Amino acid sequence: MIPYSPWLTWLIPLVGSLAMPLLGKINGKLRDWSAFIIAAVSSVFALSMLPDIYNGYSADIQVGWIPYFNLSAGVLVDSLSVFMASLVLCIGTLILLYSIGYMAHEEGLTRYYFLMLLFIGSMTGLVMANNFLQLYVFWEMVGFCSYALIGFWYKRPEAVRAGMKAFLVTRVGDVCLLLGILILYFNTGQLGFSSLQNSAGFLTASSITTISLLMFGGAVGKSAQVPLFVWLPDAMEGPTTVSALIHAATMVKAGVYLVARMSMVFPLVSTYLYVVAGVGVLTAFMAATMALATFDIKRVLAYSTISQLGYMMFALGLGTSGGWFASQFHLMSHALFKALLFLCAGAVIHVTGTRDMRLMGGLKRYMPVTYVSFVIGALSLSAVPPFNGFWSKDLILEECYNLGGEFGYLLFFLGTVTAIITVAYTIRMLSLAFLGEESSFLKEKKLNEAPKVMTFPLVLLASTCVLSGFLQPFFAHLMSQATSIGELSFPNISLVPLSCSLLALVTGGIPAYVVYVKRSFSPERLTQGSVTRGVYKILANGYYFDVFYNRVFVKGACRVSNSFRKLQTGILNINMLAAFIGFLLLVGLLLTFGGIPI
Amino acid sequence: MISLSHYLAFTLILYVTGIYCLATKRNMIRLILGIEILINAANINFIVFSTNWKTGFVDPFAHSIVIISTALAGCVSAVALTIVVYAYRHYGTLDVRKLKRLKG
Amino acid sequence: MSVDKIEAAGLVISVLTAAAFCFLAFQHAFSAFQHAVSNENLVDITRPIGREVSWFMWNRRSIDLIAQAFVLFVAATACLAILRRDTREAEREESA
Repeated sequence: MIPYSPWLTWLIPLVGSLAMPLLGKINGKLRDWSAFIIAAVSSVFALSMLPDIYNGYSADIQVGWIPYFNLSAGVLVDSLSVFMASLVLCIGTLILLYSIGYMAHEEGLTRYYFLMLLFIGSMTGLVMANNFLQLYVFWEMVGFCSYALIGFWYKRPEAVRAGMKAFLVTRVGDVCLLLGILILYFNTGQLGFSSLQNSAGFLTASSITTISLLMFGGAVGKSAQVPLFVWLPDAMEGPTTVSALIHAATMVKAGVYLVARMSMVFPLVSTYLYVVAGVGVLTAFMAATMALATFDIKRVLAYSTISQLGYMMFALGLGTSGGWFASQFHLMSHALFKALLFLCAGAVIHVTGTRDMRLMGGLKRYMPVTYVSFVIGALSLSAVPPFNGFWSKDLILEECYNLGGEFGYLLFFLGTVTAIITVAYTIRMLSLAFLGEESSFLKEKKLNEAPKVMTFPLVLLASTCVLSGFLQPFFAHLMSQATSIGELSFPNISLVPLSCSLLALVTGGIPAYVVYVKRSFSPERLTQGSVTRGVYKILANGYYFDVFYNRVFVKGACRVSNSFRKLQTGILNINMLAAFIGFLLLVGLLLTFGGIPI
Repeated sequence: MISLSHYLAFTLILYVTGIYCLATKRNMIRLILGIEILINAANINFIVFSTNWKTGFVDPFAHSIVIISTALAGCVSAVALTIVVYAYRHYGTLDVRKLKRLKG
Repeated sequence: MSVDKIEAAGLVISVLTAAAFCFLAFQHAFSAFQHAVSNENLVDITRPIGREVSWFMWNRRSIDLIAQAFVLFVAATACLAILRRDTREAEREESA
């Protein structure tokens, strides 16, 4: 381990982000490449911690922060935090390399690189934090960065709207998280992870349930789980690199990290576990079905992210150490293949200039490298055997199966159904974008492969997608070190879940192959019948969550503020007069209740 | 003998005068004078409290605060006058009731 | 002659508030002194107060310096702002 690396790994990007405006004054190219180098250096620091962790090192380094409240800042070096930090920084570095090519012709790049580095740095700080308050600070910083980056193209009203939506929807979760932290603090008087591990026994079961459910509310907002997932599809208005960063490394993974960390800190309560698993599996299923009815390539990827996050959540909700490990393993797989898919989609959008898959098609001939990488990513996403998505998803399903009981089998069943739908929408997306004849829209364009600086990260990520699944034993050893979870017991590969997931591949794959690749059956005909049209409409509208939120909260807030509108006359004298009246009332109160209450 | 209560009543009335000025006058320059009156009320309060805390003693800290505060009040009114000049150039009027861009 | 409503309301409220304040000031003794922190720098009124206070201020001139720096800065900014020619005005003159 390089000395001080637990600190430097997140301080370097945070401080480096401040250098961006200065470097931007000197030279644009210098700024772009130095952003990449800063991220690369800090990922070296993060990776240097991995061997020590592998050999069983762990530490909780504390420095004084607010002694009056018995709070100390610090970093927690254990397998979960170091694994997350390395993942965030490595993928962030690749994305920054990619954006040198992708964003080359944009305006406002200083702001872009500043926010990207801040984003990566705050996410790393979030996972390295050793107490809930520090985590919360970085949590909010991540939220702010996502808001600013989603609304990066501030001249487009949809982008600004999407940024605000992301900020406001995740805020609902953030308030829950803050409430949970406060209740925890008032009950135990401390917030450090390692000190809570010892003192969490003092809490009553009901207060643990309250606290963990409130904190899970924060994770629901951040990780786009069922009631609060609406911001993530809209967040696609930002640049594709930002979407890749949000989906693969930062932001949405923060919620999964929080839940994983909570299951190390608190004793697990069954109500909480049921909620986590239920929300997770519902999210996985609903998001997968919505992905079937979307034509925007990035929105399909967004729904698939939500669905995969649902998998991670319900694996955590199983409450077993195997489930915990499976969710982290799936997190790693998902980070790799989703970054790959997003960057491929970015290359496609870069070349074609559209996000609508109906206007694409036949890109296979023009963009071979992108095509092959996208296929690898798609195979991983749909969990085809040698690719990493298979190992992790199969592990999750196996854990469900081994848990047994009605709940375990229900989860297993829904997870398998989701896997079927995942295969279907992946094939649909792949075929609409890359296979078949090119549309009339594309015929007018000059199509060619994306520049080298963009394809290099693709190739690198694609190779990790192929390889990382085989690292499972090493990864298991790494994660079992220095966590309270203890040595992981591996389920023997049992026949039923394995055959079920293979069967899911076939059941989802064949109809989708017939409809979208062979095109022997027009997909339009599927939406002809009255029932299927109704289902399609529900799916295309995202189960009407957006409509509901718009009607109730947005319109409601507008109505309330409109009724107060008349009070705002804009005349200074009237405002002062109102203050004056308040003054008088205050004095009157003091007089009636007998003088100044000192 | 003038007691502490008399002084306090005096400063409070001074304060009310300042707010009255802010609440009713249209001319921006008068508003600035109103702010000056408010600051002076606070300053006098400082002096009054410093001399009435312990009989026979004066707190020198209040005096230094008041001297600094007077200087700052001058600054504030200078800046405010600058803003008034700008507002006059911009809107062509000194009447605050005509500046209604914040109207809801 | 029409009466300005805001002016009238302000007058009424200010008279009321002044009366209430006077009532408050004479009815209740000022009770916050008990919270005052004891201070060794108090000056005996039998001694020359002006000189003592000046001495106190000289000993703590850093506070005053900060205030003076602020004054100078704001004065400079305000002067610059007020003396600078309005850009739109300048354009108008150029075009004329």
